[in-house]
Amino acid sequence: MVTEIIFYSISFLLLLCAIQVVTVRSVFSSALYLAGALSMVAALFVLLGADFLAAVQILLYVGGILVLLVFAVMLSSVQQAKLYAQVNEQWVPSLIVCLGLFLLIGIGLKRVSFVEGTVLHAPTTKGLGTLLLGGMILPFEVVSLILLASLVGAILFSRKT
Amino acid sequence: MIASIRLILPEIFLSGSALFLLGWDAFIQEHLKKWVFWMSFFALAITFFLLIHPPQEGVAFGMLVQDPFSLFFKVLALFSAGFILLISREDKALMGDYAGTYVSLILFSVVGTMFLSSAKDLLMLFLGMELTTIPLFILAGFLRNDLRSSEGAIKFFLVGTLSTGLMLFGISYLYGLTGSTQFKEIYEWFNKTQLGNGDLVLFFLAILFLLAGLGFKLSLVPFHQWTPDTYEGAPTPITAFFSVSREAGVIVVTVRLFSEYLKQNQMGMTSFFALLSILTMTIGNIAALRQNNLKRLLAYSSIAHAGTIFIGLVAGNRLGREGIMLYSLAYFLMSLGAFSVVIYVSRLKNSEDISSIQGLSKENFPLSLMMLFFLLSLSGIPPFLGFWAKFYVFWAAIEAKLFYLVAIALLNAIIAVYYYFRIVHKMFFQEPSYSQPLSSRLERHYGLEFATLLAVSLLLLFGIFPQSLLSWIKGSSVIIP
Repeated sequence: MVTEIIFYSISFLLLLCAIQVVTVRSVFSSALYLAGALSMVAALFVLLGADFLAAVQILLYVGGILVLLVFAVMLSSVQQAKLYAQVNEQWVPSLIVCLGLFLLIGIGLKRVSFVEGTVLHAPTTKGLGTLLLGGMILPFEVVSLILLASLVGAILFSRKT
Repeated sequence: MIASIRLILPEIFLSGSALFLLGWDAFIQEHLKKWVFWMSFFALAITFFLLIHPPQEGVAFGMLVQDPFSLFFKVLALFSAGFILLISREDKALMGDYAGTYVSLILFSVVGTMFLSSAKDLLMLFLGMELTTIPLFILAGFLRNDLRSSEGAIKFFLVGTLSTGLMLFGISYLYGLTGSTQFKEIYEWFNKTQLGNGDLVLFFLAILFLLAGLGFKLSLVPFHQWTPDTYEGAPTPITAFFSVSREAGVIVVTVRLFSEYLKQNQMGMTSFFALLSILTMTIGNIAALRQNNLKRLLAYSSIAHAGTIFIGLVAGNRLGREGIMLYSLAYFLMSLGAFSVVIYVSRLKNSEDISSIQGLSKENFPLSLMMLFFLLSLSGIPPFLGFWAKFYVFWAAIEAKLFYLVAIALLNAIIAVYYYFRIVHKMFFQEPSYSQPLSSRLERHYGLEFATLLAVSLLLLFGIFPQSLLSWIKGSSVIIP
């Protein structure tokens, strides 16, 4: 019961932050809301007993990526961004599509026979490490290639011409 | 472990070469940069050698299957990368100061395509797709001073990440339902589950999400909107390269998933898949009718061709699979050829508008003749390879008793003939619109010329003597479960 209350309150906060990220006008506030949303995801991970993921989520997303994002926001023209509307003329159709999808997923989830699992509150780091360098080594290495390619792209696009 | 590594040795070698070339760009002096081209060719050749000598079969890491079917597409991907390097060789904007970066991004994308073509696990499907497309995002925006290039790249990037997100969402549900990311186990789960089970609702929803992700990459209607802008904006060799990853990677994994494991006819989704194919063909062709930019026209026609290839999947039989293989090869050769002619013309006239090709036969007859061959092949007229490709795909659909699909596809082929012949008409029956004689600015483009000639001769050779190619394809359509 207590877990459920915690879960629903975290989810509510997560959704609230996520909606704010895309609707508030100031880019800086939306970055801060993003921090909130990402922290809530970390909280969900904790709730599910995924300690390593929760720590990585905080360290990488909230600590690393978000700080970079805030830097980028501060270096760009924030004032100008406030003049633009957050939605374009197609927001009604897209809202309808989203609601439709939401409804479909809701129906699907209502009918599904997922059973309640037991959350093991044990350290997962060791298991993850063994998996990443054992059975999952190929995906792990491919991910590093992907990240390298994206890094090359980032450097290429940000250098002076 | 060692056996698995041996199986993916070509991929490992190619990634290593890509890393090396990346380093070459960073540390090597200016005058050594021209070696990048030859080194990349050398890397492709060695990879090819590792692939076919001897052809390996088996499953690597439980996620990648090496079988004749994937081997065919890997060879196709390698050869097409070679073609792309050839046609971009003289382009200073691409193979200039950042030649190593350019080439290594292409090689990374090819590695991703090779992973995709042998993926038998949703995790590898996702990673292969990312490794294929992330270099493409960058390559599409490689001309940083060109606004259209940036626009196309940003559109492609936004749509691509959205579709990846959708796909991952679907995959997460599939994993939740079946407890595995392996195609095989998902299939077994589906086989065990009785009709009317509540789980199936979410299962089909997840399949739809997965299809949306694949559909974006395949540029199926209604997920095709990024295609024309990105094709128009990207550097033209890269535009030709887009079709490689699609024909040699994404379509392969789609076929593997939906005709070997989760057979679409068994899931009762044949009419849905047929609808996708029909929409893609028709909308692509109709939109192509009104285009005045050659690259945009070819982009829409590529959407139409994606729909036609999809027929092979809808048919769902072995013949369909062979049709897809043949079509991929043929489409690659002819679209690459057509794009090379566009590159040639645009290098001479600085324009990709349809008027730039006006009266080309009077200015440069061999070039216009080659363009004619490519266009004839694209419209599926014998004796070119494009005819056999269409023939096989349609035959497969007839074997699967999908007569309405064949009828609509034939109608579409007729529409396509109209806009292809609009170009032919402009080339041969109109006066040049350009006053300046071409020869005054002509410099040699050896790579481009060689690639175009090779494409034409392969199209003709395989078109007139298809036996050996067809028997190769027949032998390669074996999928190891």
